Amino acid sequence: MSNWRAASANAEAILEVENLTVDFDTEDGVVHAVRGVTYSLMPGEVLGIVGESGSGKSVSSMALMGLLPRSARVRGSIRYRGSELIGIHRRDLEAMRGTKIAMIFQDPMTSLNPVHRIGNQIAEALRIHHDDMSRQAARDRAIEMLQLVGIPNAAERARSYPHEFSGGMRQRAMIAMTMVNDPDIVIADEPTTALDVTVQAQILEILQRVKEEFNSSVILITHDLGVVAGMADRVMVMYAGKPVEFGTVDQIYENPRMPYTLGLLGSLPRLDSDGTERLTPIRGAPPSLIALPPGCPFQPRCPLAQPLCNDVEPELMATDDSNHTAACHYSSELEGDVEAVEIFEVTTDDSELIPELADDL
Amino acid sequence: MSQSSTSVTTPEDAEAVRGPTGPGPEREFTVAARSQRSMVARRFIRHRLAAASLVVLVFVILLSLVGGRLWKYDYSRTYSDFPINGGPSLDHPLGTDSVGHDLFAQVLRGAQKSVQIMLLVAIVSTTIGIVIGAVAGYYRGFIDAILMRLIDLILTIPLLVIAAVLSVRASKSGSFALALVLGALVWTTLARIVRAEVLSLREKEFVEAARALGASDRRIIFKHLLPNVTGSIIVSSTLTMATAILLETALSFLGLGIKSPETSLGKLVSDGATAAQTRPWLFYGPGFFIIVIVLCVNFIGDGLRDAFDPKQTRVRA
Amino acid sequence: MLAFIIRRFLIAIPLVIVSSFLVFIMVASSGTPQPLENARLRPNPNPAQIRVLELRYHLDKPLVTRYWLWLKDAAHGDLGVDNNSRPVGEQLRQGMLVTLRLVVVALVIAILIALVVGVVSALRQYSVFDYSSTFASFLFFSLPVFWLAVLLKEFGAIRFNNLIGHTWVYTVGEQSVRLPHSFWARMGDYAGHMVLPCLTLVLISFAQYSRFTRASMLETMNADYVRTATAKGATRKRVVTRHALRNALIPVTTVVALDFGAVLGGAIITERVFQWRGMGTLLIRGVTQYDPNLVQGWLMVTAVTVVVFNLLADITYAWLDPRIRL
Repeated sequence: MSNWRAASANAEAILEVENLTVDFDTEDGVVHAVRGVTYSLMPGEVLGIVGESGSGKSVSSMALMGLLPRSARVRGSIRYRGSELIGIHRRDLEAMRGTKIAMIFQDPMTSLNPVHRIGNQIAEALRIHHDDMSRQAARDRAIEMLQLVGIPNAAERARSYPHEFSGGMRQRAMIAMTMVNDPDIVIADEPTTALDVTVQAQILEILQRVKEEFNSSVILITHDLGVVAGMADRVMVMYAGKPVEFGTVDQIYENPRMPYTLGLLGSLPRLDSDGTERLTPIRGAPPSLIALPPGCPFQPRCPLAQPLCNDVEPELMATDDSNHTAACHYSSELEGDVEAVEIFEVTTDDSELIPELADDL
Repeated sequence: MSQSSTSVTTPEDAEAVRGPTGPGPEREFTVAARSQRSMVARRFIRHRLAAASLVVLVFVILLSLVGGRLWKYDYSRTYSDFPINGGPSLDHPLGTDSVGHDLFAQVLRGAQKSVQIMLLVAIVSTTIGIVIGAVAGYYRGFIDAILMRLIDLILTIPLLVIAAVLSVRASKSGSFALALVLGALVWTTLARIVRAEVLSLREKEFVEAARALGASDRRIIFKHLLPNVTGSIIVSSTLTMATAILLETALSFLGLGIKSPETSLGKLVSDGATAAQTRPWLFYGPGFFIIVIVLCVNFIGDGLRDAFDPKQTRVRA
Repeated sequence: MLAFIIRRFLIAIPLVIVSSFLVFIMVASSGTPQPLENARLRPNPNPAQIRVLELRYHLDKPLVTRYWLWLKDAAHGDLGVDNNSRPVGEQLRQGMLVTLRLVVVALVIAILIALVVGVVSALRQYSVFDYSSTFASFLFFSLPVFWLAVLLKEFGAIRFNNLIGHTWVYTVGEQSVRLPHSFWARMGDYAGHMVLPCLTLVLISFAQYSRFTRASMLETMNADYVRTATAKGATRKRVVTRHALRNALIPVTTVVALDFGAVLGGAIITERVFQWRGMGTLLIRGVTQYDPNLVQGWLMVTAVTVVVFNLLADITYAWLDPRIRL
């Protein structure tokens, strides 16, 4: 399988995911949402999982907490501190949720119960797992947590309802609720996507702060490369249900070896560009996960595609550094400082872009 | 994991579809696209109960429309050789009443009348409901407030009661007037639903785009907003039809609905109510018809609701 | 919360007044009062008598004046007299007592049953219980009220009484002509008379409410905040009772409120079948005999009842959902 696993010290890994596969049965056929994800998470590490909608990043994380609907079939292995999580008894799952592995969801407005006060919802997280805790003690701790995430007048605000908070404050409350039981692993599923840009930075900062305070590991799921760049130690890029590139954040950003990653980076506008650089959007759309043909799923959109790419789906293979792997037969062609512009021939002026893209539709 | 085990295409297919090397034309990865109408129809048919109900209902409607003419006996005539108060027999499948009418003929006639009323009420109430709901939802503000208060006013009195008060006059003018009166009363639920949907849809970008292109309000409402609400409209009018029949039945029971010599299913049942113990066929026969019609309409409405609703909670095994 | 209640109350008052005017127009235009009609249609109509009757009904005055006269008296609690010169107010009061008895008991029972059935159906979706309760709901939902009432009369009373050997279940009237003396016997009498009409109303209403509860519960169980609660480690029981249920009840309140008119309509019919002397009898008499005062008074009393009921529903709604207490 992947070579990098041999390099990392498995004994220290707090979470080990091995060949995780998730299938859903639908009317149109079986959807292979996750097709073999493998990684290890170290204590105190921030792992960024990047991908577009449908890449399987959210589904694979929900599988960690057993939050998938009953129609999902989960296979493979998920080991938390050595003990297997797939197929465990419901009661053990309930005990683990929130205390060992916890999750911050994307949309804080719909993720908080509208009829209960914020303080109560946080306190509830405590009292579920600590029977002996008194109501007052739980409430006090909840207020402490709200203060920690930067909510002013915490004691008063704890009595508010979610709709009385702004988006950013709700997400802070969400973070407080997630961290209150001091989980070892925090999964942040697109924590900033539903928020304004100015608030995004604040939330990320809080996330960083609580991570350090509680010494947790973080799995940060997002489609926003900017978010990942600021916080992650390692990055896993997913496409069509599988990881297609894996490495440290520096490796990924400075030396991407999978054309998809390169394309992603190239399609971002950057503040430090001199204005003459062109954006290189990736044409086409991700494939359907029901009827995947053999070969690399990125092939139809890939400028480097060769006949081999049609037949054989590439595995994650080590590049020049064994910790940096890419699933591409021709990753070596991206060695050195290759710009997206050079590979993706589709570079165009904005005004020409729209009719060009329209042709594709 | 080198080969994706889910491959559906054979190597030959892949060969045929493969383009030149490099970013080729989009391969047909996706499942075949279907038009919305056929998707709705498919989902509806899968709802076996609803589909069966549709068949039954169509049959009943056809029966009611042409059955009267095909049946050997006329509903209003009494024949001298008929038994009076006879039970069901081969000659008279539903028996005869106290005057000597053949009950089956009467039921067919009554069904025809009831179905006519039901359809007429549906048309009238749907039209009113759509217009009021769309106007209230689109223009909002003052107009919306007035219209909603109007609905509240209508709803302060139970439907049956208003219908009772108004139909005393109307039923003298015949069943057409009665249907109009009923239609003018039952549109409130539909109006609310249409209003709610229009309220949320008008915020969408395509409305803004249409307005920017210079479309008139009327055009926006009828060509852009309402087509997106058709699902709810159809479901709601189906259920309104059920309400209409039950309402007419109730009115007939109170002596306020269809009057002799016309007959409706409601009138037949209420006439037969007193004889329920002694001559049950007078009561259960027409009653059974009503129940079948209403039940079918309700099942169809439920099936339609599932068919139009993209949120599928059922996942096939 | 208090401000909310007061505001709803203040809105209700003009609503009732405006509706009284519209109702008045409707009643006035629905026909001529019967005594007058009778007088006019006699073989040798007596002009003087006709004149007297016309004055009695204020038919010499314009509609608005007539309304104003009625409103003035009504504001003092005087609803006038009916065609037979009996006071309307008193008759309505008696009728209301009888009808409300039936409606309130039936509603409470129907709501309780519907909640249980709806929630269980939603939690055990696609189970035998779910399918059978759904089918039962559809069935009851599709029955004409009086058809069910007559059916119950036949099977519920006559055969039941035959079965148990003596008459406990009654089909006529809301109480026996001669009430027994002891408290419990009297209660038993009331209950025996109430069983069938109540059952009729309960069966028809619960069908609708349980369908709705089921749908609402299903939707709630799929909500994001339920997922959050599960992610916190809450047991399923806790997720259902503390998180899903309360949210699921919110739309159900709306349905119950909206349906109140239909319940009243059903009560009228049921009363007729079981010959209760309640509001139903009064309405039928008023409508068929063109008794404007009686019908006007009747409609206004009903309107006020519906408005009060809606107010209660709004209050419940606000108690359940803090978002609308603004």
